[in-house]
Amino acid sequence: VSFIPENRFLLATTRLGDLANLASAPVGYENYPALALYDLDQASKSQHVTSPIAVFSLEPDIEFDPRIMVLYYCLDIHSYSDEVAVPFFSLPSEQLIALGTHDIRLRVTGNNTTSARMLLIPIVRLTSYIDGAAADNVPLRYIPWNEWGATCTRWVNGPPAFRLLHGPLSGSRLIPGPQSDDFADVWDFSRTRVAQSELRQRDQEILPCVQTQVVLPKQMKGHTPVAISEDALICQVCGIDIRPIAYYGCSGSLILPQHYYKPETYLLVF
Amino acid sequence: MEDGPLSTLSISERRERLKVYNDAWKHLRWSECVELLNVDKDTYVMGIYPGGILTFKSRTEGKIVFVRIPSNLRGIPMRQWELSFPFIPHRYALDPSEDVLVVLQPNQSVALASDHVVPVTYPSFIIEASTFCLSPLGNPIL
Repeated sequence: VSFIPENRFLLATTRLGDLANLASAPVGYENYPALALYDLDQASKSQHVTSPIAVFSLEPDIEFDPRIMVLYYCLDIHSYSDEVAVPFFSLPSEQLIALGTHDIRLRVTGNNTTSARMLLIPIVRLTSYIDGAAADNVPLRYIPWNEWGATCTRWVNGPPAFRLLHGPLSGSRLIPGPQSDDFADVWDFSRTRVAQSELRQRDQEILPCVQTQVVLPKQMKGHTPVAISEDALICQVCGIDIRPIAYYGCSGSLILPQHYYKPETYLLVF
Repeated sequence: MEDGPLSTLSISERRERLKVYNDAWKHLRWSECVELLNVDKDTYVMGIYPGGILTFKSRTEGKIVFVRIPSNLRGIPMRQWELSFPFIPHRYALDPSEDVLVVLQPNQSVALASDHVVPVTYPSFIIEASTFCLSPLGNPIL
Protein backbone atom coordinates (compact mmCIF):
# COMPACT_ATOMS: atom_id res chain seq x y z
CA VAL A 1 0.00 0.00 0.00
CA SER A 2 1.15 3.54 -0.68
CA PHE A 3 -0.56 6.75 0.30
CA ILE A 4 -0.79 9.31 -2.48
CA PRO A 5 -2.01 12.93 -2.59
CA GLU A 6 -5.65 13.95 -2.17
CA ASN A 7 -6.20 11.58 0.74
CA ARG A 8 -6.08 8.47 -1.38
CA PHE A 9 -4.08 5.31 -1.33
CA LEU A 10 -3.01 2.78 -3.89
CA LEU A 11 -2.92 -0.93 -3.21
CA ALA A 12 -1.00 -3.42 -5.32
CA THR A 13 -2.38 -6.94 -5.38
CA THR A 14 -1.01 -9.99 -7.12
CA ARG A 15 -4.55 -11.27 -7.62
CA LEU A 16 -7.41 -8.85 -8.08
CA GLY A 17 -9.99 -11.42 -7.07
CA ASP A 18 -8.57 -11.49 -3.52
CA LEU A 19 -9.63 -7.94 -2.73
CA ALA A 20 -12.44 -7.65 -0.22
CA ASN A 21 -15.49 -5.53 -0.89
CA LEU A 22 -14.79 -5.54 -4.55
CA ALA A 23 -17.73 -5.51 -6.84
CA SER A 24 -17.55 -8.35 -9.28
CA ALA A 25 -14.52 -7.85 -11.45
CA PRO A 26 -14.86 -8.16 -15.19
CA VAL A 27 -14.29 -11.63 -16.51
CA GLY A 28 -10.63 -12.28 -17.02
CA TYR A 29 -9.38 -9.80 -14.40
CA GLU A 30 -9.74 -11.89 -11.26
CA ASN A 31 -6.54 -13.86 -11.45
CA TYR A 32 -4.26 -11.10 -12.60
CA PRO A 33 -2.28 -8.50 -10.64
CA ALA A 34 -3.68 -4.99 -10.48
CA LEU A 35 -3.51 -1.65 -8.75
CA ALA A 36 -6.57 -0.62 -6.76
CA LEU A 37 -7.09 3.02 -5.84
CA TYR A 38 -9.10 3.95 -2.73
CA ASP A 39 -10.45 7.30 -1.62
CA LEU A 40 -10.30 7.94 2.13
CA ASP A 41 -12.63 10.93 2.02
CA GLN A 42 -15.27 8.67 0.62
CA ALA A 43 -14.42 6.03 3.20
CA SER A 44 -14.70 8.49 6.10
CA LYS A 45 -18.31 9.17 5.25
CA SER A 46 -19.18 5.54 5.60
CA GLN A 47 -16.79 5.00 8.56
CA HIS A 48 -14.92 2.24 6.78
CA VAL A 49 -12.98 1.64 3.63
CA THR A 50 -15.31 0.32 1.01
CA SER A 51 -14.43 -0.76 -2.48
CA PRO A 52 -11.79 1.00 -4.58
CA ILE A 53 -12.83 3.82 -6.85
CA ALA A 54 -10.63 2.60 -9.69
CA VAL A 55 -8.74 -0.53 -10.63
CA PHE A 56 -5.83 -0.42 -13.04
CA SER A 57 -5.00 -3.72 -14.62
CA LEU A 58 -1.34 -4.55 -15.07
CA GLU A 59 0.38 -5.81 -18.15
CA PRO A 60 -1.48 -8.95 -19.19
CA ASP A 61 1.75 -10.71 -20.03
CA ILE A 62 1.67 -14.43 -19.45
CA GLU A 63 5.22 -14.18 -18.14
CA PHE A 64 4.25 -11.53 -15.59
CA ASP A 65 3.21 -13.33 -12.46
CA PRO A 66 4.95 -11.58 -9.56
CA ARG A 67 5.09 -13.20 -6.14
CA ILE A 68 5.91 -9.96 -4.35
CA MET A 69 4.86 -6.41 -5.20
CA VAL A 70 5.87 -3.25 -3.35
CA LEU A 71 4.83 0.32 -4.09
CA TYR A 72 7.27 3.20 -3.74
CA TYR A 73 6.05 6.75 -3.34
CA CYS A 74 7.02 9.37 -0.80
CA LEU A 75 4.35 11.86 0.12
CA ASP A 76 5.46 15.45 0.49
CA ILE A 77 4.78 15.58 4.23
CA HIS A 78 7.37 16.91 6.60
CA SER A 79 8.00 19.05 9.62
CA TYR A 80 10.36 21.51 7.98
CA SER A 81 9.87 25.24 8.08
CA ASP A 82 8.74 26.94 4.91
CA GLU A 83 12.25 28.23 4.25
CA VAL A 84 13.57 24.74 3.63
CA ALA A 85 10.39 23.17 2.30
CA VAL A 86 9.80 25.43 -0.64
CA PRO A 87 10.57 25.23 -3.49
CA PHE A 88 12.79 22.18 -3.25
CA PHE A 89 10.26 19.44 -3.80
CA SER A 90 9.37 18.16 -7.22
CA LEU A 91 6.22 19.39 -8.83
CA PRO A 92 3.36 16.92 -8.41
CA SER A 93 3.20 16.65 -12.18
CA GLU A 94 6.81 15.41 -12.22
CA GLN A 95 6.47 12.79 -9.54
CA LEU A 96 6.54 9.08 -10.14
CA ILE A 97 5.20 6.11 -8.29
CA ALA A 98 7.07 2.84 -8.71
CA LEU A 99 5.80 -0.70 -8.46
CA GLY A 100 8.58 -3.07 -7.48
CA THR A 101 7.96 -6.68 -8.45
CA HIS A 102 9.84 -9.83 -7.63
CA ASP A 103 9.20 -13.05 -9.44
CA ILE A 104 10.61 -16.50 -8.78
CA ARG A 105 10.10 -19.21 -11.36
CA LEU A 106 10.73 -22.75 -10.31
CA ARG A 107 11.08 -25.12 -13.21
CA VAL A 108 11.17 -28.89 -13.23
CA THR A 109 14.32 -28.67 -15.29
CA GLY A 110 16.01 -26.99 -12.37
CA ASN A 111 16.61 -23.87 -14.42
CA ASN A 112 15.03 -21.62 -11.83
CA THR A 113 15.01 -17.90 -12.45
CA THR A 114 14.30 -14.79 -10.45
CA SER A 115 13.57 -11.36 -11.76
CA ALA A 116 13.24 -8.02 -10.03
CA ARG A 117 11.63 -5.22 -11.99
CA MET A 118 10.06 -1.86 -11.35
CA LEU A 119 7.22 -0.29 -13.24
CA LEU A 120 7.54 3.50 -13.26
CA ILE A 121 4.26 5.37 -13.44
CA PRO A 122 3.75 9.16 -13.58
CA ILE A 123 1.41 9.77 -10.65
CA VAL A 124 -0.77 12.09 -12.72
CA ARG A 125 -1.43 9.20 -15.07
CA LEU A 126 -3.36 7.44 -12.33
CA THR A 127 -5.05 10.43 -10.78
CA SER A 128 -6.24 11.79 -14.12
CA TYR A 129 -8.75 8.94 -14.27
CA ILE A 130 -10.30 9.68 -10.91
CA ASP A 131 -10.53 13.45 -10.74
CA GLY A 132 -13.98 14.15 -9.48
CA ALA A 133 -14.58 10.49 -8.76
CA ALA A 134 -14.72 10.88 -4.99
CA ALA A 135 -18.37 11.68 -4.95
CA ASP A 136 -20.72 9.05 -3.64
CA ASN A 137 -22.25 6.51 -5.94
CA VAL A 138 -19.59 6.86 -8.60
CA PRO A 139 -19.24 3.43 -10.17
CA LEU A 140 -15.98 1.57 -9.83
CA ARG A 141 -13.86 1.98 -12.93
CA TYR A 142 -11.76 -0.79 -14.41
CA ILE A 143 -9.05 0.63 -16.59
CA PRO A 144 -7.26 -1.83 -18.85
CA TRP A 145 -3.49 -1.75 -19.20
CA ASN A 146 -3.60 -0.75 -22.84
CA GLU A 147 -5.58 2.33 -21.94
CA TRP A 148 -3.58 3.67 -19.02
CA GLY A 149 -0.16 2.06 -18.95
CA ALA A 150 1.04 0.76 -22.26
CA THR A 151 2.17 4.07 -23.68
CA CYS A 152 3.37 6.09 -20.71
CA THR A 153 4.99 3.74 -18.20
CA ARG A 154 8.38 2.13 -18.21
CA TRP A 155 9.84 -1.09 -16.87
CA VAL A 156 13.34 -0.95 -15.40
CA ASN A 157 15.43 -3.38 -13.38
CA GLY A 158 14.42 -3.33 -9.75
CA PRO A 159 16.16 -3.87 -6.44
CA PRO A 160 16.80 -7.45 -5.31
CA ALA A 161 14.28 -9.04 -2.98
CA PHE A 162 16.22 -8.33 0.20
CA ARG A 163 16.13 -4.62 -0.63
CA LEU A 164 12.50 -4.40 -1.60
CA LEU A 165 11.63 -2.38 1.48
CA HIS A 166 14.18 0.33 0.82
CA GLY A 167 13.24 3.51 -1.02
CA PRO A 168 14.68 3.67 -4.54
CA LEU A 169 12.50 6.63 -5.58
CA SER A 170 12.27 10.26 -4.50
CA GLY A 171 10.15 12.63 -6.55
CA SER A 172 11.43 12.20 -10.10
CA ARG A 173 14.77 10.63 -9.11
CA LEU A 174 15.37 6.91 -9.12
CA ILE A 175 18.10 4.55 -8.08
CA PRO A 176 17.83 1.75 -10.64
CA GLY A 177 18.78 -1.72 -9.66
CA PRO A 178 21.12 -3.38 -9.42
CA GLN A 179 23.75 -0.70 -8.85
CA SER A 180 27.39 -1.23 -9.71
CA ASP A 181 29.76 -1.59 -6.79
CA ASP A 182 31.43 1.63 -5.75
CA PHE A 183 29.25 3.77 -8.05
CA ALA A 184 26.22 5.96 -7.55
CA ASP A 185 23.81 5.82 -10.45
CA VAL A 186 20.79 8.15 -10.39
CA TRP A 187 18.17 8.52 -13.10
CA ASP A 188 16.15 11.73 -13.21
CA PHE A 189 12.79 11.59 -14.98
CA SER A 190 11.99 15.28 -14.49
CA ARG A 191 10.55 16.49 -17.77
CA THR A 192 12.26 19.84 -17.25
CA ARG A 193 15.60 18.17 -16.72
CA VAL A 194 15.13 15.87 -19.71
CA ALA A 195 14.11 18.77 -21.95
CA GLN A 196 17.17 20.76 -20.92
CA SER A 197 19.59 17.90 -21.46
CA GLU A 198 21.47 17.24 -24.65
CA LEU A 199 20.29 14.40 -26.80
CA ARG A 200 23.25 12.19 -25.94
CA GLN A 201 22.55 12.55 -22.22
CA ARG A 202 19.07 11.09 -22.22
CA ASP A 203 17.72 7.78 -23.34
CA GLN A 204 15.02 7.28 -25.91
CA GLU A 205 12.53 5.26 -23.90
CA ILE A 206 8.82 6.00 -23.51
CA LEU A 207 9.47 7.70 -20.20
CA PRO A 208 12.88 9.25 -20.84
CA CYS A 209 15.38 10.14 -18.16
CA VAL A 210 18.82 11.61 -17.71
CA GLN A 211 21.27 9.13 -16.23
CA THR A 212 24.15 10.31 -14.06
CA GLN A 213 26.80 8.07 -12.60
CA VAL A 214 29.70 9.02 -10.34
CA VAL A 215 32.29 7.13 -8.31
CA LEU A 216 31.73 6.82 -4.58
CA PRO A 217 34.35 8.07 -2.12
CA LYS A 218 37.20 5.68 -1.33
CA GLN A 219 36.16 5.11 2.25
CA MET A 220 32.89 3.67 0.95
CA LYS A 221 34.48 0.78 -0.91
CA GLY A 222 31.98 -2.01 -1.33
CA HIS A 223 29.00 0.23 -0.70
CA THR A 224 26.29 1.24 -3.10
CA PRO A 225 23.18 3.47 -2.91
CA VAL A 226 20.17 1.58 -1.57
CA ALA A 227 17.77 4.46 -1.00
CA ILE A 228 17.28 8.09 -1.97
CA SER A 229 15.61 11.08 -0.34
CA GLU A 230 15.23 14.75 -1.26
CA ASP A 231 18.57 15.45 0.37
CA ALA A 232 20.77 12.37 0.32
CA LEU A 233 21.76 9.05 -1.12
CA ILE A 234 21.77 6.33 1.50
CA CYS A 235 24.50 3.76 0.91
CA GLN A 236 25.13 0.35 2.39
CA VAL A 237 27.27 -2.67 1.62
CA CYS A 238 26.40 -4.37 -1.64
CA GLY A 239 24.65 -7.71 -1.59
CA ILE A 240 24.24 -9.94 1.42
CA ASP A 241 27.03 -9.53 3.92
CA ILE A 242 29.35 -12.36 4.61
CA ARG A 243 30.97 -11.26 7.80
CA PRO A 244 34.72 -11.00 7.41
CA ILE A 245 36.74 -13.07 9.81
CA ALA A 246 39.72 -11.31 11.24
CA TYR A 247 42.62 -13.38 12.45
CA TYR A 248 46.07 -12.86 13.90
CA GLY A 249 49.03 -13.46 11.63
CA CYS A 250 52.39 -14.94 12.61
CA SER A 251 53.61 -11.58 13.79
CA GLY A 252 50.63 -11.18 16.07
CA SER A 253 49.14 -8.35 14.06
CA LEU A 254 45.48 -8.33 13.21
CA ILE A 255 44.85 -9.31 9.60
CA LEU A 256 41.63 -8.52 7.78
CA PRO A 257 40.51 -10.37 4.67
CA GLN A 258 41.42 -8.66 1.45
CA HIS A 259 37.86 -7.72 0.65
CA TYR A 260 36.84 -6.37 4.00
CA TYR A 261 33.77 -4.19 3.78
CA LYS A 262 32.74 -2.01 6.67
CA PRO A 263 29.06 -2.66 7.21
CA GLU A 264 28.19 0.94 8.07
CA THR A 265 25.52 3.07 6.53
CA TYR A 266 26.66 6.25 4.84
CA LEU A 267 24.73 9.33 3.82
CA LEU A 268 25.88 11.32 0.83
CA VAL A 269 24.33 14.63 1.77
CA PHE A 270 23.41 17.37 -0.70
CA MET B 1 0.92 29.28 -10.63
CA GLU B 2 0.45 30.22 -7.02
CA ASP B 3 2.43 31.96 -4.29
CA GLY B 4 4.41 29.82 -1.91
CA PRO B 5 4.21 30.19 1.87
CA LEU B 6 5.65 33.26 3.55
CA SER B 7 9.38 33.10 3.96
CA THR B 8 12.08 35.24 5.50
CA LEU B 9 14.18 34.62 2.41
CA SER B 10 13.85 36.96 -0.53
CA ILE B 11 12.83 35.66 -3.93
CA SER B 12 16.38 35.98 -5.22
CA GLU B 13 17.79 34.14 -2.20
CA ARG B 14 15.34 31.31 -2.66
CA ARG B 15 16.09 31.14 -6.35
CA GLU B 16 19.81 30.96 -5.65
CA ARG B 17 19.30 28.18 -3.12
CA LEU B 18 17.20 26.24 -5.58
CA LYS B 19 19.77 26.66 -8.34
CA VAL B 20 22.59 25.38 -6.15
CA TYR B 21 20.41 22.48 -4.98
CA ASN B 22 19.44 21.47 -8.51
CA ASP B 23 23.01 21.76 -9.77
CA ALA B 24 24.26 19.55 -6.97
CA TRP B 25 21.77 16.82 -7.85
CA LYS B 26 22.35 17.26 -11.56
CA HIS B 27 26.02 16.40 -11.22
CA LEU B 28 25.67 14.24 -8.09
CA ARG B 29 27.95 16.60 -6.20
CA TRP B 30 27.18 15.86 -2.59
CA SER B 31 28.58 18.25 -0.02
CA GLU B 32 29.27 15.79 2.74
CA CYS B 33 29.70 12.08 3.41
CA VAL B 34 28.24 11.16 6.79
CA GLU B 35 28.85 7.80 8.41
CA LEU B 36 25.98 6.72 10.62
CA LEU B 37 27.19 5.17 13.82
CA ASN B 38 25.70 2.28 15.74
CA VAL B 39 23.29 1.19 13.03
CA ASP B 40 25.01 -1.90 11.73
CA LYS B 41 23.18 -3.20 8.68
CA ASP B 42 23.15 -6.73 10.08
CA THR B 43 21.52 -5.68 13.32
CA TYR B 44 18.96 -3.22 12.03
CA VAL B 45 16.39 -3.13 9.26
CA MET B 46 16.39 0.20 7.49
CA GLY B 47 13.38 2.12 6.26
CA ILE B 48 12.90 5.57 4.76
CA TYR B 49 9.91 7.78 5.43
CA PRO B 50 8.52 11.10 4.25
CA GLY B 51 10.20 14.18 5.58
CA GLY B 52 13.65 12.69 5.18
CA ILE B 53 13.42 10.36 8.17
CA LEU B 54 15.51 7.21 8.15
CA THR B 55 14.59 4.48 10.57
CA PHE B 56 16.56 1.50 11.80
CA LYS B 57 14.52 -1.17 13.53
CA SER B 58 16.49 -3.51 15.72
CA ARG B 59 16.19 -7.18 14.87
CA THR B 60 16.94 -8.24 18.43
CA GLU B 61 15.86 -5.44 20.78
CA GLY B 62 12.77 -3.35 21.33
CA LYS B 63 14.28 -0.33 19.72
CA ILE B 64 13.97 1.94 16.71
CA VAL B 65 16.68 4.44 15.83
CA PHE B 66 15.57 7.54 13.90
CA VAL B 67 17.81 9.75 11.79
CA ARG B 68 16.69 13.00 10.28
CA ILE B 69 18.65 13.28 7.07
CA PRO B 70 20.52 16.59 7.04
CA SER B 71 20.90 18.97 4.14
CA ASN B 72 23.64 21.53 3.93
CA LEU B 73 21.99 23.18 0.96
CA ARG B 74 18.65 23.54 2.69
CA GLY B 75 20.05 24.22 6.14
CA ILE B 76 18.57 21.14 7.82
CA PRO B 77 20.63 19.83 10.72
CA MET B 78 21.07 16.12 11.28
CA ARG B 79 19.37 14.58 14.26
CA GLN B 80 19.60 11.04 15.58
CA TRP B 81 17.52 9.63 18.41
CA GLU B 82 15.98 6.36 19.47
CA LEU B 83 12.86 5.05 21.15
CA SER B 84 12.69 1.88 23.21
CA PHE B 85 9.76 -0.48 23.59
CA PRO B 86 8.98 -3.41 25.85
CA PHE B 87 8.68 -5.59 22.74
CA ILE B 88 10.37 -6.01 19.39
CA PRO B 89 8.48 -3.80 16.94
CA HIS B 90 6.86 -5.74 14.15
CA ARG B 91 5.80 -2.98 11.78
CA TYR B 92 5.50 0.76 12.11
CA ALA B 93 4.57 3.90 10.25
CA LEU B 94 5.10 7.55 10.91
CA ASP B 95 3.96 10.94 9.79
CA PRO B 96 6.37 13.72 10.78
CA SER B 97 3.95 16.47 9.81
CA GLU B 98 1.45 15.17 12.37
CA ASP B 99 4.08 13.95 14.82
CA VAL B 100 2.59 10.47 14.80
CA LEU B 101 4.27 7.12 15.12
CA VAL B 102 2.33 3.87 15.06
CA VAL B 103 4.04 0.64 16.04
CA LEU B 104 2.56 -2.80 15.62
CA GLN B 105 3.33 -5.98 17.46
CA PRO B 106 2.53 -9.19 15.62
CA ASN B 107 -0.85 -9.38 17.35
CA GLN B 108 -1.37 -5.87 18.61
CA SER B 109 -1.25 -2.28 17.59
CA VAL B 110 0.29 0.12 20.06
CA ALA B 111 -0.27 3.79 20.58
CA LEU B 112 2.62 5.90 21.73
CA ALA B 113 2.46 8.78 24.10
CA SER B 114 5.34 10.77 25.47
CA ASP B 115 5.56 8.85 28.70
CA HIS B 116 3.74 5.60 28.19
CA VAL B 117 2.91 2.86 25.75
CA VAL B 118 -0.68 1.80 25.35
CA PRO B 119 -1.38 -1.60 23.84
CA VAL B 120 -4.60 -1.89 21.93
CA THR B 121 -5.99 -5.20 20.85
CA TYR B 122 -5.61 -5.77 17.17
CA PRO B 123 -7.42 -5.06 14.90
CA SER B 124 -8.91 -2.12 16.79
CA PHE B 125 -6.11 0.04 15.50
CA ILE B 126 -7.02 3.09 17.56
CA ILE B 127 -4.14 5.40 18.18
CA GLU B 128 -4.17 7.53 21.25
CA ALA B 129 -1.41 10.01 20.61
CA SER B 130 1.96 10.43 19.14
CA THR B 131 5.27 11.15 20.13
CA PHE B 132 7.61 10.44 17.64
CA CYS B 133 9.40 13.69 18.04
CA LEU B 134 9.13 13.65 21.82
CA SER B 135 6.57 16.41 21.81
CA PRO B 136 4.15 16.93 24.71
CA LEU B 137 1.37 14.42 25.04
CA GLY B 138 -1.18 15.12 22.35
CA ASN B 139 -4.79 14.38 21.78
CA PRO B 140 -6.08 11.36 19.93
CA ILE B 141 -5.52 11.72 16.22
CA LEU B 142 -6.66 8.50 14.61
